[in-house]
This record gives sequence, C-alpha cells and structure tokens, in this order.
Amino acid sequence: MTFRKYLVLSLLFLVFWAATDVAAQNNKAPALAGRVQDAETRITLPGATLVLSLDGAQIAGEISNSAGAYTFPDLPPNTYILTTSFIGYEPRVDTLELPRIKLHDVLLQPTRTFLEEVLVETQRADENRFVAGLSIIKPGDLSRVPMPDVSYDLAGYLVTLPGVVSTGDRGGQLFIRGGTPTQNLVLVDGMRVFQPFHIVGFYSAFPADIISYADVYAGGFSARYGGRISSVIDIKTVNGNKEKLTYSASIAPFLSGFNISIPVRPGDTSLIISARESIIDRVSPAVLGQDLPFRFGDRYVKLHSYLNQTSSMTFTALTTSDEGNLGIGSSGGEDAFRKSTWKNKAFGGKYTYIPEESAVMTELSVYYSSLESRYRPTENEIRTSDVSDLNMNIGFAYLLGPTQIHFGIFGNTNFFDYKLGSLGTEGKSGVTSVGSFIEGQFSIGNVLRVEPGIRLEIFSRGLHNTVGPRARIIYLPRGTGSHHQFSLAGGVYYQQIVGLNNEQDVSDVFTVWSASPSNTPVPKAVHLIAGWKGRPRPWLELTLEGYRKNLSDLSFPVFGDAINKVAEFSKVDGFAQGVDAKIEVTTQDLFLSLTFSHSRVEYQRKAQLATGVFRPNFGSASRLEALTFNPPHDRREQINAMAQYRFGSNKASIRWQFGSGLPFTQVNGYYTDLASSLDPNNQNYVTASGATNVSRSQLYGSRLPTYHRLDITLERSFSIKGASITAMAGVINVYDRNNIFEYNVFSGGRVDQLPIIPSLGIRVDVK
Amino acid sequence: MRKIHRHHTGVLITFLFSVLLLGCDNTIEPIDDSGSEAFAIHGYLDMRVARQVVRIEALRPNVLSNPISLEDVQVSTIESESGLFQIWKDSTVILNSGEPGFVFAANFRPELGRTYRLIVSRNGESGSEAIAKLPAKPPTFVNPPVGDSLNIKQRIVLQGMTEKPIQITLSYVVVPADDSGERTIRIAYGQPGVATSSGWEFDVDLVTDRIIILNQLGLNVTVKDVEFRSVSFEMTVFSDEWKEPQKEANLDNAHGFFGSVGVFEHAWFIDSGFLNTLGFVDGQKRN
Repeated sequence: MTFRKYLVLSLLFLVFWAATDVAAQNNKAPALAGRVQDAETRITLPGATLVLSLDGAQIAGEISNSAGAYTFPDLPPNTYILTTSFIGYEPRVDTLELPRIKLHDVLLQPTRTFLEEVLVETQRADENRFVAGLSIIKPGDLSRVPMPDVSYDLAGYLVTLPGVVSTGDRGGQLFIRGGTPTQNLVLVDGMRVFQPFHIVGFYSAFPADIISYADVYAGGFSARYGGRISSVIDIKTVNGNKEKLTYSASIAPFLSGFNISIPVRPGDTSLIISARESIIDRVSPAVLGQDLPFRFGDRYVKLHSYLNQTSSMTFTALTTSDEGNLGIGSSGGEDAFRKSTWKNKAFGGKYTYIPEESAVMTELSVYYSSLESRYRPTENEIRTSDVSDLNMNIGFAYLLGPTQIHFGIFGNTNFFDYKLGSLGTEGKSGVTSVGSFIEGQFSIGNVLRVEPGIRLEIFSRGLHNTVGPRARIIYLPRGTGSHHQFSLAGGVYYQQIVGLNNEQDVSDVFTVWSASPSNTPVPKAVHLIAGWKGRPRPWLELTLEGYRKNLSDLSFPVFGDAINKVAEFSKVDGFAQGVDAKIEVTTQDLFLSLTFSHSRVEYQRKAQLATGVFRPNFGSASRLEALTFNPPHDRREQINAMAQYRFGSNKASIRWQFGSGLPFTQVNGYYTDLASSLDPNNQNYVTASGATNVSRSQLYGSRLPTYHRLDITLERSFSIKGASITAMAGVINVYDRNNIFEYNVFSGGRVDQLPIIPSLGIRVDVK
Repeated sequence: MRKIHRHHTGVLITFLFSVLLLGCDNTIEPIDDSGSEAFAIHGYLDMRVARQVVRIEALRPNVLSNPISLEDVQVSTIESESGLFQIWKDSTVILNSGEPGFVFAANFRPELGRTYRLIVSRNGESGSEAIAKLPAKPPTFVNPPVGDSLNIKQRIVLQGMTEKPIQITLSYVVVPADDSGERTIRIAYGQPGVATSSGWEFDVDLVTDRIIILNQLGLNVTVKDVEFRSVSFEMTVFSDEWKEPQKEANLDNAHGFFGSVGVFEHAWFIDSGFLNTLGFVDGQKRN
C-alpha cells in the first residue's frame, strides 16, 4: 500500500514534470538586458560594471553603455546572480531567474556610507585564497547535495567535506578531523550554538536561505576563535532585503518551512523571519511503513539596520528543538522509552562603527546562548543538563589595504546545571574567562602572505593562564595568478569547558557540559596543517592537505559493568592525523566532486585512578591500567563522490558516501549483577534478581561494517505569475543499504540508519 | 608512459574492487566468542556451614534472552594444599523473578587458611575459574584485665587485621553452685572494636558479661559462688574479596563474586584475682 502511494505520487510528479517541460522548451537561450540607473534620480549610469555569476563562478561581465544599457545574450534558463557596482554607489546584487526575468533595470543607491563596502572587504578577504584547513561554503554549494527536501542545509554539505565524520543520518553529531562534537565551535553571526545539528543528521539549525557564507576551519584556526580545541564553523547570515518584500516556502516530508524578508524601513532596515518544522514523525508510518520518531525544528529572526552613514546594528535570535528516540529501530519495543530532547536558544546584538575619516572598524557584540538537554535512559529515570553562555566582545579591525590587523578583547561566562539521575550526581557551577587576541595579515611581495596571531586567555578553572600562538602562511609561487597555492596553518588551543557523554553508545547523544576539573590542565590541542591547491585547468581544482593534531588532557568515559552508565572518567592524551584529498570539476552545466580521507585517531591512557563525574570520587576510585585505543570516531577511510548536472531548467544531483567501519567494543555477554544481594549472613543471592551487567571485550577492539549510501535528486524550476517554483523528487539510500546505527543490547538486534526513502518536495520563491 | 597509465588503472580498479568488496560486508559481530566461554559466579565458601553453594550463570547474548542452560556444565573445586578434588552437584532454583536459576552445591566445610580453586567448565573445555583463600587466624594477644570491680575490661588485639569482623561471640563455661552441671553462656558482641596500627582491637567487658551470665542462670548479681571454667571468643571474618566486591581480581574469565567466610576461636585464662574481684570462683583448668 505504501509503495503504491509512492508510485501514484511519482507518476503524478512525472506528468507534472513533463507538462512544465513544454513550457521550459519555449524559453531556450534568452537574453538578459536592462539599464543601470540612479535609484533616487533615475539618471542612467554609463560605465557601471555588471558581473553575472552562476553557482559562485563568474560567467560573464559587461559595462553599461552610454545610455546605461547592458545585455547578456544567450543565457540558458537558470538562476543567476547579477552584481552591479559603480563608483559613488552601493554595489547591488540581484538574483535573477531566467527565463522568467529577461528585462531587469538595476537601481543603484548613491553611497551614503562606505560601511557595507568595508564590511564586505574585511569579511570576504578570504574568499579567493587557499588557506590550509579552511573550507568556505557558499549558499550555492549547499544546493549541490541531494537532500530529501528543497530547502537545502549546511549539515548535508558538511558531511561531504573530507575529514568530517558523522554518526550517520541520525543523532546530529559531527566529528571533524579527529575532534569530537563538543570540541567544535559553531558560531552564527558570532553567537555560540551548543548543539547546532538536528536529530536527523541531514539538517543543521541553519537553513540555506539564511546563510551568506560559512567558514569551516577543520583546524589551524586563527586567534579570534577560542574556547574549543578542534574546529570552527563560523556562519554569517544574510541581511534581509531592504528594498522589497521577498518570501519563500517549501514543503517536504522531512522538513517544511518558510522564509520571509521584510523591509521594515525601506533602504535602511530589514527583518528576516525563518521557521522550519519536521513532519516526518507524522507521515512516516503511512508513507514509509515504519516509525521515524524524530521531531525537530528551528526558528530564526534577524533585524539589521543602518543607523546612519557610519554605523549599523544587528539583532539575531535563534531557537531550535529536537526530540526523538535514537535507539529505536525496526525491532522497536523494549527501549521505546528512551528519549533524547534538546533545545538551543541564542540571541544577541552587534553594533558596528566605522568613522569616515579612519580605517578602523569597531564592533561591539553581546550574545547569550543556552542548551537544555534531557535524556531518559530508562523508564523511571531522567537526566538533565543545562548550559548557558554569555559572551561579550569588542573588536577593532585596522584595514590598511592588503594589510589588516585585528584586535579584540572578550569576556565569557558559562553556567552549568545538571542532574544525572541514577548516577547520583548533580550540581550547579559557573566559569569565566577573559582575554584578548591580536592577529594580522601581511603580504610579502605578491607571493607570500603571513597571518600571525596570538590569543591570551585567563580561565577561572583549570590551568589559569593560557597563551595560544597561531599562524598561517600562504605561498603563491607565481603571485596572485598562480595556478598552485601552498599553505601552512597551526596553533595552540585550549578549552575550559568540556562536554562529557557516553561515547560507548552512539544512540546516547546526551551531553553534560561542565567546567574542566579545577587545578588540572584544561584540554589542549596543537594543530599543524599543510596543504596544496592546484588549478591546472580553469575547470579543474585539486586540493591536498595533511594534518596532525596533538591532543592532551581530554576526559574520556570509563565504562564499568553497568549498561549505559558512565560514572567515572579518565584523562587521556592522543592524536589525530590524516590526509584529505579533493578533486573538483566545475563547468557551466556540470559539477563533479570526489573527496578522499585517510585518517587515524588514537588515544593513550596512562595508568591512573579514575575520577568521578565532575568531582573527585568519594571512597574508592577505579584503578585504571595504561591503555592505547582508537576512539569510536576513528574512521580510517572516507570517500564522497558528488555530481550535479544542469539541463534546461532541470538539475540532477547524485551523491555516494563511503566510510570504513567505526570502532566499537564487542561484548562477551550479559549477566545478572548480584553484588547488592551478597551478604555473609544469608544466602539470599541464590534466588535474588538483579540488574543486568555487561561483560565487555577489548575496548574499541572491533569495527562496525562499512557505511555507504547513494542519494539522488531531480529538480525542476519554473515560474508562475512572478513566483519561482522548484519541484524536487529524490530517493535517499537508493539501494537500501542497511547501514548500522547501533546494536540494541536489549533485543540483540541491530538498529539501522534510514532505509530507502523516496521524497517529493516543492518550493516557492517570491522575490 | 603507457605502462604507468596501465599501472594506475590497475591500482584504481583494485581499489574500487576492494571498496566494493568491503562495502558488501554488512554483518556485525557484537559478541566476542573468540575466547573460552565465561560464566558469572556468585557465592562464597563459608566455614560456618557444611554445605557450600554457588550460583552460576552462563553469559547471555543479549539483555532479554532467556537463561542459558547449564546442562553440560561442571563445577568443581580443588583444595590447593591437599589437592583434594570435589565435584559440585547442580540444581535448579526458581528465582524471585520467576525465572529458573542454576546453583551448584558441595558438602564440605572449608578450613582456615586453605585455598580453594573453583572451576566452571562446559563439556570439559576451559571455562571460568575463581580462587578463594580462607582467612587465616591472626596472631591474637590478650592484655591483662584492667579496672575495678565495677568496670573490669580486657583488651584483645588481633595483629594485622584491618577489616571489621562479621561477628564476635564470647563463650563462657560456668558451673552454678547448685551442682546443676556445666553451662555454656554465649554472648553476641556484634562487631566491636576499631582498627589500630597493631590490628583490630576490642574490649571484653567482664563486669557486664558476668551480669548477663548470672541473668542467664537465673541468679542474683550478689551471688559469688558460680565456678568460672573457661572463656573464649569466636570471630567470623571476611576474606579479602569482600573489601572490593566489584574488583573481580580473583576471577579468571569470569564475572561476579567468589569470596569466603572464616571462623576462628581463641581461649585464654583470666587471672584468679580478677575472677574473685568479679565474683566468680576460679575453676579454670591449667595444664
């Protein structure tokens, strides 16, 4: 019945597809033309520069003629970005859907401020250069990844990056070059987000619509970033349209949502409201014939305003909610009570000021974010963990052409509140850190660029004062036009607060945030990355990076005999090292990408006494032997192959992921724990019942099966009465691979990741 | 050049073939069955009883699976000092949960200071082992009584003993003046005393004990003609395994707990003068 429903829907979709195809055929190779005018006086502007881009690549350029007119002939139907600039006017970027729009007059606002130009300069200086460890993600990149909906998402793209390991399509955990999720710093317009990924791993808390770009540092990040030791995902969101109302909406089984941009005060102030909500838990029993008990969503608001010619103000707020049972699989039943929920809240504001007579930009920002986590491991137990973060920054950027110096001071306070149920631990605490950083960008000739930096931070806990030197070097053998670029990046990183979770059980994503133990060194990492990027042909790009991260003073759980219960932790040191390679082919119609990662993550535990969860043990602590092991995210090989082909108004995307098996600990079996019944004065233990204990084999001594999955989608875009409509049909896990998510200790069955899932979606954009 | 190209093609094909081959394997082996079968052992050897019992459980493949049959399992002990080998007899009990449980029993009384190796095996193959060493009697020193007629105490020192005993019981053998015969009065002391640098120390409260004795005999505390024949204490003690029951240090390829409980006695003489002060007639037989 379920399959028949899909068959009918698919046939309807194909008919719809064919009908719209006729319309598309009539609009082949249109031209785009128009005039460039002053928005206030309507005077035509000869000599304005117009650049047409497709998927981030510039494909054509024009200069407006003496009448201010321009023409781009023979453009296939597609969505283009037209950037228009002229001296004395603010640059303007328009998204144009061809063939719907053939005539487009560009109205340029006279420059009242150079604020935005400077902001663009300082924020996007990185765009065209290669920096080891850094991937710059643009909105167009996100649409290349086949997804089960039409809204696209950052999370779907992140897992295509080499060196990024996920737990699969549920759980929302990303491991970046050996770092755990709690060692990743995720910022949205400067706000920290503790759990930035949704319970279904395709999705982050940030829809593509709100993203301007994202800098993903897999390591070697600069001195302006701190508080985490592995990686940084720094997301900058778009400002709303200040000229006219635009909105979009999408509907798909996994995720539906809308985005609206309102010019609150035309020309000056804009408001973006975005909301998404999943409906997969409600439709999956009927459509897929099985439960997918996951519910998630996110809400985002951004108000941006130019206060005057030299200053601007931004207010941003984000909330997310996730709920589901990660341990339930086809077997269901016995652990149906296991439930994970988490809610992020983040809000704050930023004030930016640039005096006209000076090249110093000043930014003042205050942000608050929090995470509430709940986990029900057994029917009668609930564990809670709340963490909040208050962050204040004052930053100064000295913009001296190719030379830039950034200086900042910051203060950060975290509060923790946790109750760990049967583990018998609960507490409230807070930590503070203050510090400053300075970093510069200096060019030596046009072949060498050096970016040194240093971060000084004082922690209220652990190792009290830290000095984190950072450096990046970029070498272009033949100057700016060089086909080959070489880069080195490295630094020393510290993390005062730690996220502790049960790394034995992937379905237990419950993370308890706490301060690093007092009077012991805080977790530390030393990164070194070396990379090469070559562009032997204009359409071919090759990237190769090698990295090593030395890790020390990490907290790792000690697994006792009790199931799903962590009462003690040990200190471990370790390293992550590997090689990531990427090949990309980009033409007007075709995009191909192949990435390969080879890595190794190893932890060493010295002989020691275990420590209790967040405080020293009272009574006897477990004596731990020295041990070397590979943690559960040590994926040795990973391949990601992706292709996208545009034909007419259609777009076909395909992606295949492969990952070698992750480590796991085999068990010898399960037995009844009678310790509490043993009494030298009676023999009650002979008939007593007890909890079930697990007998474990060598820690992470075995490997799960390999992970691989094929996803395909087909999209079609067309216009109806000024609205741009995108229809999508796709299949996730095309060959229905049973990728394991976890082994169910209760039933003895395996819990697999998502099965084959056909998906339909539709999106409407009105601009 | 062509040769190199061919070589690269070969490497690529081999790599892709390997990926496909690896990728096809989709099985998980959650249970490590590479070693000998392990069992859970719960129980202890107890000198106080003549029948020893242990509960044995075969490890289950998952939490909810039914108990594994122990039909082919043999449990035996070897006493290390004498080499005495004994096979234990199996039986099934109904657990409080209603499920069947498996216990093994043997009729013998372990001895102080002896070491017993418990072997659990299925069909004669190597399985689990546990070693229990019965506690040895510590060197015991009895200090002279101190105090006056209202409060006479005698300190006992058990050298090297650090753990609290399970039970201490004093035994007095007395003969009332009515010639009704020898009577043994047992007085439970519980777990008195403290650990000191010398060992475990506790006091025998002779005045209070006399009152209890007379009370047991149905006599008034003013009676002073009861003959005092002997005094001794019996101490029940844990083996070392009870200190950290979860440690499993004495188990090999096994889980659970296997300890022992030892019992020893110590008798001494009380000075005649103190007995007279207490109100007893000294009837102790010194050889």
